[in-house]
Amino acid sequence: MAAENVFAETFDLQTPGAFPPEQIHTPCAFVSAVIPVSRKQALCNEYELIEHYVED
Amino acid sequence: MSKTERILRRAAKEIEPGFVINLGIGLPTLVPDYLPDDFDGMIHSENGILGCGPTAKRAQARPSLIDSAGHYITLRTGSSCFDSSVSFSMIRRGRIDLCMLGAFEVDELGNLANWKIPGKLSPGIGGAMELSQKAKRLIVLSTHTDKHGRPKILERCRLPLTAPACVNRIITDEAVMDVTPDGLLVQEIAENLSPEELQNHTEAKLIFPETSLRCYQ
Repeated sequence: MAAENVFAETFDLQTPGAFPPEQIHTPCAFVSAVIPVSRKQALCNEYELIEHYVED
Repeated sequence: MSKTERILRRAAKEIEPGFVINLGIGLPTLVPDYLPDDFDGMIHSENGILGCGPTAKRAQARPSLIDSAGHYITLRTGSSCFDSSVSFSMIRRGRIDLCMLGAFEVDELGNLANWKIPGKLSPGIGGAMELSQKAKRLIVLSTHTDKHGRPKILERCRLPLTAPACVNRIITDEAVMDVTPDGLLVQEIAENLSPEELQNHTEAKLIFPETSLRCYQ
């Protein structure tokens, strides 16, 4: 909540609606970017930024 | 077209894809009726919802699912529910891109009074104090005059303030005005209304652009 930008790194990117609303701990308004990575990529540091709403 | 419909149709154009939006009680809560079905944004409610959908029909209504005004609502795909502390963290952290609130009075400094008329029962200020100070952009939706025909766009507010110098834009049934350091700059004017008529309905001194004014229906 306090950070200017929040990058969520995930091995398992789900489509919107996959999680029950009451089980979401960090609502999307707090997340600036989502970075899907495979476990192999995580080790190699080769990330792909697929979506971002980084503030100006 | 009614005054209300004109305000709401114009207000809906302010919402951009991806926005997190909070809509205050009154006129603003009707804005979703003027948004397209594929509208790409998340409507926030202070009681702890991000992704509010349209008002629930009687058969859909769930007693535990209400918005901050107490209306039964539905949820959009991708919505989330959380407690009030998270909800107000979202507001205070400035994660609300756009907030639309109603007004009793608004003035040329961007001061807003929308919660208390002395001597009359008020349910309280609610989340308006935080929203008006922390939202990235605050737009006031209001009729240009009250039911007695008196201006609501004033030189200085007389009622107790919700927050000082917080309003960015005012949308009424007669004009769209931006709050600037020099005063209220008229951006658009309602069809069939002259600048002179608009000024006559407004206590604050309006600034008109040198170029021709855009009209809206």
